[in-house]
Formats: sequence, structure tokens, C-alpha cells
Amino acid sequence: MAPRLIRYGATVLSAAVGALMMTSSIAAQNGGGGRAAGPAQTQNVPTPRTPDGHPDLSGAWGGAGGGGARDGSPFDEKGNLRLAGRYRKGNPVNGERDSGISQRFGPNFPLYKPQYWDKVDFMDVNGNVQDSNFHCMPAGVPRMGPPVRILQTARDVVFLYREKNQYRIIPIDGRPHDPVNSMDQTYLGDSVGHWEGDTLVVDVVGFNSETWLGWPGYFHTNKLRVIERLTRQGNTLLYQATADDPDVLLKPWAMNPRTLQLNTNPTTQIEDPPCIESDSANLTTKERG
Amino acid sequence: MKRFCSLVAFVAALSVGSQTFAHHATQAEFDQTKVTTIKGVMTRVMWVNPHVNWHMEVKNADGTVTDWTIVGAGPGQFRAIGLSGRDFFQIGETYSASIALARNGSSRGHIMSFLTPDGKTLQIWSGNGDDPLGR
Repeated sequence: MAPRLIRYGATVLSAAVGALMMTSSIAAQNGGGGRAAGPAQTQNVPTPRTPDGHPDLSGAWGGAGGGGARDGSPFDEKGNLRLAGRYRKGNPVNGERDSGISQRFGPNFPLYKPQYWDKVDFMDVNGNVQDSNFHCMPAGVPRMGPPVRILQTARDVVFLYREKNQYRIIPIDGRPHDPVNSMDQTYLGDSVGHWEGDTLVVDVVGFNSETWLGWPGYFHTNKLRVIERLTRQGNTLLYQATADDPDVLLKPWAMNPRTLQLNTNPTTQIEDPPCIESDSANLTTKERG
Repeated sequence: MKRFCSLVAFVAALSVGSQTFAHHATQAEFDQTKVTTIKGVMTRVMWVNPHVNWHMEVKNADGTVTDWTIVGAGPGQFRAIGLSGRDFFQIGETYSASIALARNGSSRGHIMSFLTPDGKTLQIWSGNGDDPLGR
């Protein structure tokens, strides 16, 4: 409990620490889709609409897993590669540890009921074992972040994710949750969508309790309910997600919103190689950043 | 194949690009103060998540052969910097690799640098001068 009380008291400090940390490292831990975008015009572009008048969310969003160096090529003219460190003393261990600090002390974290902070601590300390995402299982919603590509029809939207090549098919024709799927307790849950003005609202239930809300041991139960809101304005997509788990959370937790640019790079790709975890058997300490 | 496997201990202060962030602490698996250079034949390239794995067959002084597993960052992170498996790693070719050794004593290491058959240095974890293959 004590560490979590410290965490409460350190909110102001954590905001400063969080601001100092590179968002790219956090994105790497919390799912893709929020990376630097390919070329896109963001201003004075009308929002495309489907024949029924709703915004058309279709497109590749954010980095979308496309290739190409983001900050200039790290290769010299002879083809040698040298990656420059951007961490304290250029040390990757410092980078990993700082990433862990920034995620644990980030200003925006789920507020658990007092009796559950010990469990959060346990999950965090033993994350190399407890975090199923570390063992190649899906990060789940909303930890996996926004989709990197969306396909939209009048009846449904399809969210494609780079992480583990996952997809979600979400009906938007007003139907209720499927009575079977919504009780199955799955990694991605059962999703249904509807329009509120120009915002697509996706209601997700039926989760298992294996996934986490975030890297620092932020577990949830199978009572988790997530509301995702996607709003397209021109070539910009705003992704917001709120997680509610009244059994363990004091109040719904709003994940940091992501703003994604339309990726018009024709070579953008989302395919992700399979996940074959081989590190666990070789870890000698519990450290994970 | 000429045997080349010299163990060199360094107090290594490694640096790494943000793209190569592992999802667990590399420190828990690899000792970055113990760096060795191996030279051998690339036998397998596994361009998989969460970490790319290379397998190199290294002949030891006593004539035995050790299959080294070299661990890197995730394929998406390599893709982002333009490092592709097909372009840079050829099965059957001879590579040198400086690696941070596994703490459990197994024949595993975290890649610092590769020296490719055509003489290119791929410094994935630069070493502030501590990497034997670094330039």
C-alpha cells in the first residue's frame, strides 16, 4: 500500500517526470498506432463521408507500421548503421528504467479501490510473469491503442492492428451486444458501435481478466467495460477510450487520447511477424524497467 | 571456418536508439558488462516478435560447434529504421557479432554490432567506444 500512497502524493512530480520522458517509449509499451504519421494534409480538408452521411473513418492511421526512418537515415554513405542513444549517458539500461519510471509515475493512471493497490504492486513487481502481453498474448482493449487501419461499410467497421495482426469487426447498425460473445470473456471483448453526431462510439464488454489496462500492473476483471470514441476531422482521427471496472476501480479511467494523422503512404504496411517468446526462460531477475 | 571467439569483459555503457526498446528489461537477461565477439555462419534468421533472433554456428577451439542465439529488438522497430532481414542477413554467410552475454550462462547474447560479409558495421547497440566492432 505504501508505494501507492507515495504514488498519489507524487502526482505533481510524476507529471514533470512524465513530461520529460519520450512518448515513443511509452507507445512502444502500450500498443502501436500512435507513431509518427506519413504524409497527410491536416488542414482545410473536408471530412469524407459515406452515402449515409456519417464520417468515413476508412484509411491508414498514424505510422501504421510503415517502413522508413523517422528521424533521418541512421545509415552512413557506406551503408554502415549506427544508432545513437538518446538516454541518460546513452545507456539503454537507463532508457528502460526511465521508461518504467515514466509509466509508473505518469500523471494519468487508473484509480483503484484501496484494497487493490497491493495487487497492482504484485502484478507490477512480477510483471515478467504476470503480464500476459509479455508472453505474446494480445494487449487487449484499450491497451492495444487505436487501430492502424480502418475499413468502413454501412453495416460495420473493421479495425486492423499491427500488433499481432489482430482485427475487430464492429457492427454499427444499431444491434445490441451478442448474447453469447459478450459472455465469452475474450481478449478483445464483444464490440458494438453507434454514431453520436460525427463520433463513432464503440461499446466493448465480455473481456477476460488476462489483459491489463497498462504496463505497471494495471489489472482489470472480467467486468471491464470500455467505451471508445473515434472522431474524424479532415485527415485527423481522434481516438479516446474510457475503461470502467466498478469492481476494482474507484471511477472510470480515461486513457490518454491519441490524435492520428491519415497515412497516405502507399507503401504503408501493417503486417506484423508472429510472436514467439523465448526470453522468459532466460531471465535471471524480475527487473523489467 | 576459422574459429574466432574471444571473451572480453567491458564496463559497457551501451546506447541504443529509441526504436530498440525491449518490452522487458534487457538487464534481466543480458549482462552488458560482459561483451564477447563471435564469428560464425549465419544459420537462421527469425524475424519474429517480440525480438528478432539470429542463429550463428560458431566453431570452438576444440572443434566442437556452438549454436549461438543472438537477440535483438522487435522487427517493427528494425523496420522503422530501415534494417531488414532480407537485405542484411544472408543464410550461409559468415558474420562477426559483438554481443552482451546472457546472465544464465547459455549461448545467448544481445546484439551490439554485426560485421557483415561485405564489411558493413551494423551498430545496433552502440557502445561509446566499448563495442569491439563499433566505429
